[in-house]
Amino acid sequence: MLRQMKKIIPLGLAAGIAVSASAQTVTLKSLDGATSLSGEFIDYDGQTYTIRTIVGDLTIDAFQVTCEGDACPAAETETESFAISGDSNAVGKLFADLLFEFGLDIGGDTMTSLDATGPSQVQLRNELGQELASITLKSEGAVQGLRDLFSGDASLAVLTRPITEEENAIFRLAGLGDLTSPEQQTIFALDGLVIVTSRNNPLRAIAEQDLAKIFSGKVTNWAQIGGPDAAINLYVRDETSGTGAVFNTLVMTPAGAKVAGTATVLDTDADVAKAVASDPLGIGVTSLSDVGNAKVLAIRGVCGIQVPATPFTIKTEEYPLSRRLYAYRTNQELPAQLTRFLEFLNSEPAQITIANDGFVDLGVSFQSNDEQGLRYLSAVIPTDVEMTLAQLRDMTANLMASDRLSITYRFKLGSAKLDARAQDDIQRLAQLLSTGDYDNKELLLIGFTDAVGAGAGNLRLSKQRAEEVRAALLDALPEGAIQGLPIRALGFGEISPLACNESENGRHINRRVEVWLRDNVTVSQ
Amino acid sequence: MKIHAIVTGAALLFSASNVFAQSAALDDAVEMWLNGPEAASLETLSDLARGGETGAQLLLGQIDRDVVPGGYSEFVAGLDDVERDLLLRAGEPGESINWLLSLSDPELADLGNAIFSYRVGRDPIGNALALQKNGEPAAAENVVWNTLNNGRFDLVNSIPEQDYGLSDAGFLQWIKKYMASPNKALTMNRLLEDPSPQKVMGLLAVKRLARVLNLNKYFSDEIDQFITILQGKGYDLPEDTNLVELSADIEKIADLDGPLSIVERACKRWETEHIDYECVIQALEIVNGYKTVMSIRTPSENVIPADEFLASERAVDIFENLVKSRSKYYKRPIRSSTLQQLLSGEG
Repeated sequence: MLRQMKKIIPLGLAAGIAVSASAQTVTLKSLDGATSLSGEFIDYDGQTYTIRTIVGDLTIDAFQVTCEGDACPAAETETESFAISGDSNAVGKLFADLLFEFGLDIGGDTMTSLDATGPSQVQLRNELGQELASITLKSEGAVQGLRDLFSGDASLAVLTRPITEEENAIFRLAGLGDLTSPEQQTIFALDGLVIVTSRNNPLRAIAEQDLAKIFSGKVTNWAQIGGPDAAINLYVRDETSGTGAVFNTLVMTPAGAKVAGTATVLDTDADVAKAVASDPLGIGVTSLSDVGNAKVLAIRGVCGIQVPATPFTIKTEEYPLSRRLYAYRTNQELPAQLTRFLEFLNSEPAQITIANDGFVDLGVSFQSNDEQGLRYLSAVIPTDVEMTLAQLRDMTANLMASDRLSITYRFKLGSAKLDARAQDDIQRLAQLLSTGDYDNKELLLIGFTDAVGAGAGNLRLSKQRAEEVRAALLDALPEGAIQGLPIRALGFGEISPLACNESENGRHINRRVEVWLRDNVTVSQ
Repeated sequence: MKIHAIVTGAALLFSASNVFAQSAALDDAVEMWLNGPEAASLETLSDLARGGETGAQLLLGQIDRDVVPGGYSEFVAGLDDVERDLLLRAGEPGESINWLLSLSDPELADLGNAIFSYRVGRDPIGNALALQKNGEPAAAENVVWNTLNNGRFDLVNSIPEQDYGLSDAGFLQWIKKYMASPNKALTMNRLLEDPSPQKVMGLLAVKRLARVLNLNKYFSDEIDQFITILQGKGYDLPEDTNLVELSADIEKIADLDGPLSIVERACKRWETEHIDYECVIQALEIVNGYKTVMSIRTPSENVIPADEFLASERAVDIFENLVKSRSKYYKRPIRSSTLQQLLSGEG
């Protein structure tokens, strides 16, 4: 006998348990009461309802509705509690802001509690004011973030560096999964470190190999690097800060150096920029977003390639001091609101917040071939690249009247397997192309390699990588989404390095598949 | 009478067209009302109605019944009670009755009641079914669309199995096709290439449900701007909106969409020597959006097919009258040079 009692369920509080029930009609009402839907109950997966209706099967956001009907799943009335732990700036500032935007995005709001170090607790509420989750923000650094994740004290660890092999092994051995797998790792933003001086300083660029020497105190006078005869004043962040740690990882540690004890250590990136801007003899490391009135120096690689720090070169990760921001989780079931929040990280409002907070968002940018002069200079400058004029001409012909997208796919040495960010970028590109705004264009996927190995082999490998991206993209595209948009996979081997092949980081930058959109022009007969 | 045969026949159930043969006199009067002088045509229709011409009775009944549809005009609005009784209603002045409730052929009472009653009561789907059953499918579809856009998809989903083809309504089919498609992106290109005449209705209905279905992420900026215009909120468009491109797109969409074509043709009728990308946008603002324009439709599909009415000058006249009358309550500055001229009486 059917139960006659009607159940009204605040689904925002419901646990993520799949439910099956015999065919029964349910009514789903939006929390604001403005929309009512009914249909035959098909499924509930903790996040969405599926009902069968007069217009087919509809998937409804379970957090936006209440459910009425015998088939509705039982309510879970307890508020979720979980913690996010990790990098101080990313968790304490960026994630606090992202959670605020998330609250708005779901039609509710958030209440943030502060302690001496910043936001510490966020109450997430739906539009009816019901508390959905209590989220603790722990800004005690990457290592503590991973410890909290391991012990279960946090559901998410936020790092401004990738997890190391050793750290990941500990999670694997404990049965908590592979944190570097696409299921457990989310890259949600990018960042760029920049070397800054006063605007009065005549220097425009600095050699990559001199950075460690300068910041370790081996080079102490501007005259040694082409400046005036005066002592160099160093300004840095503490090595436990994200900026300090990444600078050490990318510059100091590979050179076997440490930041000199004479350096002035400041509390924020903005403080570094401000101090350097007002000191004609100063040089410092800060983030691109906090440059203020300081002057950014271009970094010249050992082979002569010089890449400026711009959001585009950071998005393509061709700027040598680019870094990714990671959110890691274990293989345990996530709180429903955290799953929802992680999906939100890829949305436009989230990416705008990321950009507003000074990080580089993952949104797709475009750059005309006219702005790609560096490509041609760097094709001829390095001496270790096997290239013929015919190859360069062929590449140029393909890139004429084309725009490059900031999406760039990268590969491990000798491999044609896409890396973690590439998997997300495949979805991002598929979504972009599905808009139909690029009909009457041609999509070019152009593979390149580093200079390791023979030129002929690299040519084959670059084509293979482009084909790999093409196959993954076609798999990700919805049926019929790109009628009228041909996709071509090309490979040009090692002929267009965007970084010096002398360093591992440079070789990684060069092993890539670029994405270009070219106008289709039909010439009359 | 042929109308009787059709109303009682199965063919009517799925037909929106004027399939019965009318008298030549009625045809002439209808044509005059659609594209000629209003007062004279209503006089002729009134004579025919009093002479027992059911088609004329249906038209006048609806014109009397509703402000829109019904040939809303300064002329009709200016009639006093006696003039209205004599011109638009059955019976004698003071004791008159709407023609829809006193059709000469008693077997058409259901049709008359369906048209007369569809806005009354709390059973929109029942009303829509009555209209559909009696050969008024466009009106029926309109009722269903309004029900959905009022947030009551649960009522729409309650359409019974014996629905006389109501669930085949074009915009419901459009939504069904969209929901079944793996590609959910809604872009201007997709809309422009879509051959369905109900695509605008479908688009607005999907937008109404987009929040709970988590579909907003699939709407491109241009589509959102188009929807903002359709909702009569053109004043809310982002500053970087490309009005030139958007206007060209709206013009193309209006080729297939009846209500939008009325707005386009009205702006062309009023146009001055100035290029004006704001006319359609602000005209929709003044009348409170596409939903209002959708209510401008044939008084009876049994007499005038929906498409024929939408293509007529009368439809544009009604829209013009709506713009003029509602502009009195519109407090924003007039941005459109065309509308400035129209509303200042210079047009």
